[in-house]
Amino acid sequence: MKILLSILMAAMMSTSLFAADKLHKAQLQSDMRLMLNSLVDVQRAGFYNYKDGLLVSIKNLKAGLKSLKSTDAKSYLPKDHKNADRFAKKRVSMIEMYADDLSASVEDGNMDDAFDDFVLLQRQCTSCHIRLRKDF
Amino acid sequence: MERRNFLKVAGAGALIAVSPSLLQQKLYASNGKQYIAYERVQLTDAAGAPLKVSALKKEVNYVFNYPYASTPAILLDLNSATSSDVKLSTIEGEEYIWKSGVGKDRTVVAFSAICSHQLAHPTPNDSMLQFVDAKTPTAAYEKSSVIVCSSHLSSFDPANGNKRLSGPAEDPLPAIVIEIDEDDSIWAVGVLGPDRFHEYFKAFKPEFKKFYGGKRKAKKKVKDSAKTLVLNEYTKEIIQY
Repeated sequence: MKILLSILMAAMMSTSLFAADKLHKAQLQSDMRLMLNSLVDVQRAGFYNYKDGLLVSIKNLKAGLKSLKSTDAKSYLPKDHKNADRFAKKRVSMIEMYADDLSASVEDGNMDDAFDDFVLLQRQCTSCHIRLRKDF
Repeated sequence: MERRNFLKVAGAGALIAVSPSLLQQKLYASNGKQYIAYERVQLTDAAGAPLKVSALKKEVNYVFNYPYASTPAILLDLNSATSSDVKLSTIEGEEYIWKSGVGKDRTVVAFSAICSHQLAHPTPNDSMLQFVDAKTPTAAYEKSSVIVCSSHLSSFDPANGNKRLSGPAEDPLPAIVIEIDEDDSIWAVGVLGPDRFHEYFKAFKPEFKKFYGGKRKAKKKVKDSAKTLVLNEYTKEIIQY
């Protein structure tokens, strides 16, 4: 009886851990898509010189960073790039830095600086992806 | 003073009065474009005393900011003598010659620690670009005792003018031209090679606010002396692959 109960407990725990892991990955993917869509929105708002739209899009972009910031990079990196976790974390902090500066540039009405920040922010995203995502 | 002695003194004075950058350009580059003379700056230790070559440990990264307040450079004393008269070229086809390391054994070198690929560099928070000693393996190159940028795994050879060895970087790292005085003190005098300072100042404005109080202060040229720290004292986290 005791053994049966132990087996049952172990099965329940591993199932819930598996489910939690799946949920977490789903959240991460969802946040990445949020960030991608936010980048598109920033570009669109920039073209239309729409300041409020820019600020909202940047806020959304930063919201998408939450799970990246809280996740151990090793959990989502491909097997052959597990050791690049600190590189990935650095990209996250740089994205946040440029997003903050982009907001500040937009607030100041300095659109030249804002454009530079946008390009540099994108560079952080692609920098990580070029290194770590598989070629299609 | 006798006429002959006067002429000797006047002649020596005239020689010194010629711009040192002209002389050094002839030593370092075919057309002078890849060499820029900056302020002659003495490297000091953490306490502010002149840093001496004899105090350097082999294959240890010593970081100082030069030629600007925010542009990091790394000084090394390598295990073996460097090559001499290394011909290097930039992606744009400009050629220049790196003379060699300095010191009695030609082992002391310095380079601008800003990657020629995407400008990764040591900051007070972290460093992804540094020299990897002989005992430490790297994913960037088959051998150690090279400079590695762990952002995208470019590597460079400090014993050969920071020539690019591997990875997506296309240019060598610029060398910081170093002189050693008779009293063993170390001076930085210029930059040789394709520097990316202009792009660097455009790309890291938010960092300059955080670490230097703004871009204007970050762009100030270093004068008189440059404090030199071992890398793990300069930065909180060393990231190296």
